[in-house]
Amino acid sequence: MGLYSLNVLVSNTMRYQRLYFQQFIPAVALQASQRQMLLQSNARETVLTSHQRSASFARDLAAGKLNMKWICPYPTLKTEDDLKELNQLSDTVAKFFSEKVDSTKMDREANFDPAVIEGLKDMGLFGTQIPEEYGGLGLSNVQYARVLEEVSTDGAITVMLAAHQAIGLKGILIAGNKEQKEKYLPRLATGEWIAAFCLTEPSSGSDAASIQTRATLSEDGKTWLLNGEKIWITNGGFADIMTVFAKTQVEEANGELKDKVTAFIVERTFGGVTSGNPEDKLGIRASNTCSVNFENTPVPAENVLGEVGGGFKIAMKILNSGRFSMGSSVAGQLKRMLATVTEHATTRTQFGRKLSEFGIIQDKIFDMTLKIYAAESMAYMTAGQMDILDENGDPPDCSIEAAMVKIYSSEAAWSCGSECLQILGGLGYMKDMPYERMLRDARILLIFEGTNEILRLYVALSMMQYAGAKLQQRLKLAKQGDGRERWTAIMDLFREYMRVESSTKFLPNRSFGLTAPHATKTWLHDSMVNSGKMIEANVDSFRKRIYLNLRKYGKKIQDEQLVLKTFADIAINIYAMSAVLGRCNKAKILSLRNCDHEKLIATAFIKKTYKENLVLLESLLDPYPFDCKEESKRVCDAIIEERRYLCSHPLEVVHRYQEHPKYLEHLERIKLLRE
Amino acid sequence: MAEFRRLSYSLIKYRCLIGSCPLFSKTAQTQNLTPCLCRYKLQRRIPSRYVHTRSLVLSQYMKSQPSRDDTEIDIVSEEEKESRLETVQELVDNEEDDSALLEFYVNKAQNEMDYMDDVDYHDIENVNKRLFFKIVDVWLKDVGSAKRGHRDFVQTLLNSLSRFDVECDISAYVKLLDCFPDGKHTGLKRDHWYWSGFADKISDHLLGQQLMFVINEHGAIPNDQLFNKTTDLFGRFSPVTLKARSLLFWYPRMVAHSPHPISIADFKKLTPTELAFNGLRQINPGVDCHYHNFAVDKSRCKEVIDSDKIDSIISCQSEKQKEQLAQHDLSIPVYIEGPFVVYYRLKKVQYYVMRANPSQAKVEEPQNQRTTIVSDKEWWSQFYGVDYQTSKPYCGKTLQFYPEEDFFPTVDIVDGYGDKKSEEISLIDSDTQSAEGPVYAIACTDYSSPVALQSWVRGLILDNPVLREASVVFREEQSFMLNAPKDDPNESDYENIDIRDI
Repeated sequence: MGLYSLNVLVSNTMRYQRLYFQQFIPAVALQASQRQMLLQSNARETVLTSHQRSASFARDLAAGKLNMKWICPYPTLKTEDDLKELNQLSDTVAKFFSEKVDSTKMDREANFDPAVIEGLKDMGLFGTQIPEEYGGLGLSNVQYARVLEEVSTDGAITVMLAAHQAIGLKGILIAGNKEQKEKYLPRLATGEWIAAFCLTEPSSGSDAASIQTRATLSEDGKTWLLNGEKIWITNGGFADIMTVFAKTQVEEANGELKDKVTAFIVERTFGGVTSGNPEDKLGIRASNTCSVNFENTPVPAENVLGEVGGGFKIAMKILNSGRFSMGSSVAGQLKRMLATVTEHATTRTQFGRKLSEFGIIQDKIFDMTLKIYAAESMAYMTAGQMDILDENGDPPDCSIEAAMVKIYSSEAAWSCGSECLQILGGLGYMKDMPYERMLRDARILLIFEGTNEILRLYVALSMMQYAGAKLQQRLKLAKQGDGRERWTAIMDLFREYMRVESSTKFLPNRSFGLTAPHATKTWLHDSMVNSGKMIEANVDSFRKRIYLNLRKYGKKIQDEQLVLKTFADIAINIYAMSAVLGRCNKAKILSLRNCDHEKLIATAFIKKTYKENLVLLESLLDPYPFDCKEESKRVCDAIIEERRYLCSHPLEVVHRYQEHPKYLEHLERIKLLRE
Repeated sequence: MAEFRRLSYSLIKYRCLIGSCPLFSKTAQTQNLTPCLCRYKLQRRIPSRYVHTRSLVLSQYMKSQPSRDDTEIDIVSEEEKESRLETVQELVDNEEDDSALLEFYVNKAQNEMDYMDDVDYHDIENVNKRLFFKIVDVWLKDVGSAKRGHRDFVQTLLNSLSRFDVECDISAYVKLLDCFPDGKHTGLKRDHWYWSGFADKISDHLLGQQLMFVINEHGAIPNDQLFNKTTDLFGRFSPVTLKARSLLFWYPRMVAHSPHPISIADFKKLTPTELAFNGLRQINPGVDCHYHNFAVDKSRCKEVIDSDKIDSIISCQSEKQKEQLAQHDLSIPVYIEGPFVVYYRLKKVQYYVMRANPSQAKVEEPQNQRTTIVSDKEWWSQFYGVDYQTSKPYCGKTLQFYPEEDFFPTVDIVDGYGDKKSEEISLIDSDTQSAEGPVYAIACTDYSSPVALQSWVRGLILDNPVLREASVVFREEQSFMLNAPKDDPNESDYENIDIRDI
């Protein structure tokens, strides 16, 4: 040991001493408030790290990732008691509807029976989702979906209730301040007041930003004056509270004056509100739909919902949050229809055999079952996800998934309804039976709450936006990033290119061909592994097609509606498949009642949809030999120009070129030249 | 050293004749020439057995010339050997071997020409060309189907194409391909890619490649006949066919690139004035251009230039340039800048530009991408996300209070990512475009003094009266290209370079 080692020893002991003391000093010296802050910051960190929410299922899908955390575990209620309560509630509702509600009569008279409305109020169905502190039932989305299954026995009542609480008063729940909630919600929950949602106008349907109704602020700044006309307002005839959207003038940051949408809570008692006559409709005839006029209606400034100029976002939020419920209501109604139809098929005899013995009839029943199962699974999965709140108490953005549920279930309702009628034969066509009414009621589902076409574009474009942003980020890094970042980005892009565009279209994965890793395998019951593989395969090629088409069209993909529609269809199919997978997986693991029957349905559904998807995915290839885009465009252009059916009649024998407008034009030109 | 290389090149080139040379004995070959050949072998890895041996046909017409016995040669001293080597070199350089074979057949063909040939070669008007085809026909008749000695013959004719005016005629080259022996058993044909890898009959293939090279050099237009014949003769995968194919591939593309194709023979005949015209046309293409040849006032000009240079000024001006000059702002001077250089094919042409400064020249400060200067207000609003004056929060990252009202989400990708074609086109920045003003005229001359250029301006005044009032400034800008060689540096040595080394 020399001087050097002694030095080291001393310095080391010093250091340890310092460390030792440092441990205790803060604990002694920290003030209580400081400690509080420390604790808070720690808490926040843990919350942030444990609850980092990924983008929604559809967005992950666009990036080529199958989000298994979304599928598994399949949502359930928290306790068994909750389930019992919910079942009791839905049983009473079902009993009420089967005993007290005469839908045929209401449909014929195009009016609600006041006794039925009273009964609904007594059960608290006007305030299902309003929190208990405001006098509502305070149901979560899953519970609400379950109750709707029973309510959907009558389409008109379902629509009326949806207009009241899913969109009419949802604005107050989402964006209203405390005073507004305290003022309006208790009365709305009991059904004393009924709400309506006023957005649609003669000149603006799907394009909500183009509304013409205007609100101007008075000089004292205390009241707004509403002017304009709203059409096709459900409950418009008797609603006491209306969520009205109108354009208001606002000043932008750069000093420009702009028209932005603002939401208002309008009471009928404010004055200047007049309703038109109730419309005579194809379906949901009992519900009240009419136009509402606002003529200098004074609205106090405190009745502005959210902020001035922020109405568009509120409208979109309301509509997006309401859509998921269509899945369960459609499933409930179809389940009841399926029961009656099978009853009919087993009793009716033709050619000496029961209808149920015919293969074609069986196939129809099978198809319906699959669709019901899928719609139900999708609806409850989405509802369950919407119930999970993040650390700020906000629900996740499920707008794409909700739109998917709406599209799938509305189309299932229409096709299954018509199939039911087909099985019933002439019986279903008669007004004496309820089936034609159910079919008529189902037709509106494809149209309202955003038409399916618009929603398909929305779904596809949202996914494209996410995929495009990811790609954009990679491209940016590959161009401007530095060092390792840049090279990773370049390698990623190259790998993507190799997988999608190179002639081999094959990259060996990391297992060197021994086993293929399946992301879904670890989550699934053994019997569901194959179905999981199918979904994975679809997801993988879906990602490839997205990359291919983004590369082909770039920004212009926004105008390629047919491509977008195909993408939306595939995405909806994949979402349905994964919902079915998740639900059946849960049933198998818990070995629920009839779980083997469920497994048959689930595997069959996934097989079928997988095949369907393969066809759709193939149509997105370039070049696609069976593509008839060019033909469709030319035919439509010609027909749109003439506005009639252009082919000659099949019996025609003479070439009547004299009638052709082009020929006539040509003649006129020649005449002019001669003159 | 350079001479040695030259010798080796020429010997390699004429190696097919070495064996048949009467002045050249076996000992001389073994003792003195092996180094050259060895070098060649190392480079190319070709076994020596592919070097030609004497052919029968050559010996037939060489009979008249004096030949020596082997025994005689053995006695020769070393000095004598050296002197003989020199003569060999002279012989090779002067192409006397070629000429012997050639003259033999030229005489024979001329003697055999009769009235029937007018019928056979009715489509060939040029007498020299006719002679060429007749020579080939006579040779083919002589040698029969075996076609022995075809390499010597083809090589000889290839070297003397200019004598028969067939440099640019593809049919002559196709005719030369007839001289190669065809048939299954010659071993020339390599249809299979596997056999094409083996160096069998290499010299025939090398000769074929040389043929293709010469076609390319002389700018003869390749046709399908050439390709078909090459394929039949050498096979699909042989290098000769590949070369023919590349000729066929590139020819239309090159023509599309240069709209006024010119053969090498014609190019060599161009006068300096025509050269200038072609150079100007290359810079300023278009059918509406006016060309003028203005004489230079030599009494005032101190420069003296050679006869093969442009001693006048050839001016070129299009209609649009004329219009632009008519609208010229008289407060700004007209600049004459030069001399610049343009290459027309291999010849250098010197030219001047008459132009004006851009009227609204934008001189932008170079912006560094990483640091941008922002005002306090901007910085505040970007950093805090609120308005500077009212402290009202902005909506998201945009500098606006209210959100956009778009129902459909927008897809954001780099501009032009969608269309793959744009990757190949690099866009010109807008600031570089405006750096140069409108060009009013261009002119070619080999004078470089402003006195000579005055006659250009004087000539242009007739068509453009604006120039009478405008002030013209002469700006001498020596292009670094002026120091570049005037002609193609390879051209003079062209004869001595073996194509196989390029």
